[in-house]
Parts: sequence; structure tokens; C-alpha cells
Amino acid sequence: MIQAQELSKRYGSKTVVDRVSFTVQPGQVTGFLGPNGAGKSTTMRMILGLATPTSGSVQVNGAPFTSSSHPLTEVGALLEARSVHKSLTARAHLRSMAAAGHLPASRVDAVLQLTGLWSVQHKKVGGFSLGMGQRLGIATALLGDPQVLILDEPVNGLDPEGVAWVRQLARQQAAEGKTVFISSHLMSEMSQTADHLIIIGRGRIMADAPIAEFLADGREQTLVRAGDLEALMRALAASGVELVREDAMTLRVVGPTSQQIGQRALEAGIALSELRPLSRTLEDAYLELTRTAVEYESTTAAPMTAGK
Amino acid sequence: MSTSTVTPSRAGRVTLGSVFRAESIRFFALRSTQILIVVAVLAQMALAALGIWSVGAFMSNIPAEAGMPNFTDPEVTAEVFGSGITFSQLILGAMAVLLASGEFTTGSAVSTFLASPQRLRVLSAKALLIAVLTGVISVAGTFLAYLVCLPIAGHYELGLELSSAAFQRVLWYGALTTMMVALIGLALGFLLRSSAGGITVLLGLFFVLSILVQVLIMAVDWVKNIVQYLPDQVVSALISPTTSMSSLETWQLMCAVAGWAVIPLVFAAWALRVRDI
Repeated sequence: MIQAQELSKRYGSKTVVDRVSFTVQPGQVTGFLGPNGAGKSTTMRMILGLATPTSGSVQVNGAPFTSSSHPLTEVGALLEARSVHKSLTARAHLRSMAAAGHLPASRVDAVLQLTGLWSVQHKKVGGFSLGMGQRLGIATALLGDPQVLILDEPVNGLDPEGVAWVRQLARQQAAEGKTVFISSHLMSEMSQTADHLIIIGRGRIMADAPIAEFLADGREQTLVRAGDLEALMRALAASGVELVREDAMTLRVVGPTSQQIGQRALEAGIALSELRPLSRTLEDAYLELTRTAVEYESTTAAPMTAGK
Repeated sequence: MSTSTVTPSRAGRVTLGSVFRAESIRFFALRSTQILIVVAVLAQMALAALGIWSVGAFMSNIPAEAGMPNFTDPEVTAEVFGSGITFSQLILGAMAVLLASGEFTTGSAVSTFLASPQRLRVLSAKALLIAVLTGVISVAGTFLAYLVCLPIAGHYELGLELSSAAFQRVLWYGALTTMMVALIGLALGFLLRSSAGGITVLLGLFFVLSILVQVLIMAVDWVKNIVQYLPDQVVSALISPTTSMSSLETWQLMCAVAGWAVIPLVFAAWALRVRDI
């Protein structure tokens, strides 16, 4: 469990994290979602005691992480892919980490095998690809079989197989009752992994809720008003389409998009007086939430940049 | 190992001893460390041999005159033998800078301080490691240099004896001041978090500062008292007292060594506690 209370971080006059409070529960995957520069990494660094909060506090399993006597079995974290000395081999790095926590050498073997780095364990980390570096970071995080797993943009640089593996790993750890906290700047990524979402924008919490609440099972909802509602209902009736009559003239349609509804109404010759999408995809909901809170808004289509 | 109740209490526990072990595993796994140790020892051997050889060659070319230092005296020869030690001390000092600055330049500080969020424990483990290691390397280097110099000294009929007080000074004060230089280097690495910066300041402290202050002596008299406490002056006063102009007593020099070893480290500890990683 991670509990942040009124956590703030200022660098000079710039407030990076602004009075943030949240709780990350064990037994589920909590997604930490926000645009680049929203304060995700800074928040995670404060949880881990690498950065000192300007004000507020954060506790891991009821105490500040900096006072932990068993840090490696308490928390495993991946912050940056390159948090290993380049001239060390993967194995030497993990052996050193294991030695710091009195962990048996069998744990080093176990995480090397789990992350698929067994064959490159004697290679220098400096020669690793981004994906391999990311895997080594995850291996380091898992070394102590920690109660709390904190992963900052873990799928960055991973191939599709690696992405699926991280998702599965996160789900599995949560199923074992661990606390899993994963950051991402992509809603699509989170929607497939997280049970709970905390959305941050410009250092402030924009939303904190179970993922289901962000959108009713992720389906399109449209409000339709028409004179001949009975005819419209017959025209729209199909499998996967849910029709809810709101009043004599209003229908809520769950399933098809508003374009599809309009098309079918046209084909059936029914005049619509209103056609309004009620909710959007998770991605839309996220964009809407953070639109006012993006640090560097692009005016035209800009290339997608990797999160820090 | 999924819950703390089934985990043996020792597993996962991080202590000064375990961080020390982690640091030494990492330290010896690095090629750069091994190279610097070898270069430091070779430099110590080479400079000692060069000193003995040049004195021997010089002496054999000119007739002995009154007032010349008597190099057949082991006490005098040992000082020549030890005069090059500063060079290897600075190489080991640079290695100490890298031990600290490397954490920040490579980003490995994140791993290090996640394994031990108590930052001063990491600093203590590194200080312990570098002090023990450089002390041992200095003693070993002095013995190796002795073995190389023995035939040269014999050839020129110079006295060089392990048991002489001067040789013992080179051996033990050499090790002590090497540890001091390494701890200054470590502190600089933590303070500046930059390899180039740390090494530059370390070299500046030993070469530039002394020269600068010695120029000032001409103008201001009280500066003379300060210059004696500069690290390079302390090293030469301890290792080669007859050629040094130092007027400090041994206990004063020891205080200076302790001060240089501890005070920069205290600043480094404070900075490490306060600054973000």
C-alpha cells in the first residue's frame, strides 16, 4: 500500500507536483496516467525517497520508504531503463543488489530467467538495447520479490511480446496480493492492464477511480431523440445493441456509434431530432481530462514522444 | 517469500555490512577500477625506481663533497624512494572520485539508493571500502617498489633498508595519506557528482593551490602557516621530512590528515542527505 498526503514538489518557482493525495491499494494494478511532464516520475521518486517532497508526505506500507530496514523485499522499482553502471554485466549488477539485501544467489538466477536475460547475463549493460535495459530494470525490481512494485513507463522500448509479458506480470503480481503501481502516458496501455486509475495532469490529480467508472464497460453511449421512437427501436435492434427508453421521445443507445445510428435511421426513413454521443472511449475521456493540463500542447500532429 | 512472515528475517535486511559487500562486488567487477589500481602500483614502482636510479647515477658521476646529502645512509635514500608516492596517491584519489561520481553519471545511483534508501549508509560503506582498499594497495605498492629498487640501490651502493625509520615512514605514512587522498576524492565525487569536475578539483588541491599559496607567501606572512596544512604539504612533511620545509610537529600533521579525511566527507554527507538523487 502506498499513501500520499498533500505531496508537493517545487523546483524553484515551478511546481511539478501540487498537493497530491492518493492511496494505492494492494491486490490490484493501479495505473498512474498522465501526459509527459505531468509529474508522474517526480511523484514516484518521492515515494522512493530519491526526491524529498517540498511539503506533504508519502508512506509505503505505513512508513516512509527511507526508514525501511528491508527495502529490497519491501519495494521493487523500475525508474529509468539506464539505472545500471554501463561497464557492469547484468549478472554483476544483480549480484551486487542481492548482496545488499542478503538475498540468495538463487534469486539472481530466478529473475534472469524470468526476464529472458539468462543468455546475456555476462554481457555489459552498456551494450544493451532499450528493451533489454528495460528487462534488466524489471529484473532488478523483482529481485527481492517485493510487496510493492513501482514501474515507471515499463513498456517503453519493449517489443509487442515484451509488452504483453509486462501486462501479464503486473496482473500476476497483483493477483498474489502485491501492490502494483504503473505509470504510463498512454491510456490504451492502461486500459488493458489497470484495475484502478489515477490520472495526473500538471502535477494535480485529475481523477482517481476504478477503471470501470471511467466508462461503462468501454462501450459507446448515444442519446437519440426522435418522433417515432418505436420505429427507431426496431431499426436499431441488433445483437450487442442495448436500448434504454429514457422518456417518450428519448432513447439511450449503448453499443453502436452515433454515425451508425444516424445511418440506420436514414435507411429506415426516421427523422431524428437529436443525436448526441454521451460518453467516449477511455482515450477520449483521458484526453478530455488532461486537455487543459498538458505541459507541451501540440498545435499540429506532432510525433509521439516517449515518456520519461 | 511472498509474505514477510515466511521470509527469514535476514533475507532482505540491508545493513552496513551488506551494502559494503554490494559495493565491493560492483567495484571489483569494473574494469576501470582494476586498470587504475594496476596503474597506481606501477607508477609508484616506476617513480621510486627512477628516483633511486637518478640519485645513484648522479652520485657516481661527481666526487662526494662536504655538505652533500649522504645517500649511502638508508634514512636519506628512503626519502628519495618515497618522494614519488603522491603520483600514485592521486591516481587512487581519482578512482575514489569515480566511485562516487560514477553513481550519478551512469544513473546507477537509483539502484544503489533503492537498495539502501538510508543514504549515509551508502556513503559509509563506500568510505570504508575505499579507505581499506587504498591503504592496502599503498602498502603493497611500497613493498613492490622496494623489490624493484633493491637491485638498483645495490648497484650504486645506496642504502635502502626495510627496517630504517625513513622506510617505515614511507610505508605507513604513505598508506595513511593515501587513504586521506582517497577520502578527499570520494567526498569530491559526492559533492560535485561529476567525474571530470571531481578529479580536476582534486588535482587542483594538490598542485595548483600550493603554488598559488606559495606565491602569496611573498606578500603576506601569515599565509605560511596555512600552506603547511595543505594536503600535498602534509604528505611530503610526513614522508620526506628532511626535504620538506614544514615546521609542524607530527601530532599536528596527524590532525591535518584527520581533518582532510573527515571534513570534506562531512560536507559530502550533508549534501547527500539534502540533495535529491
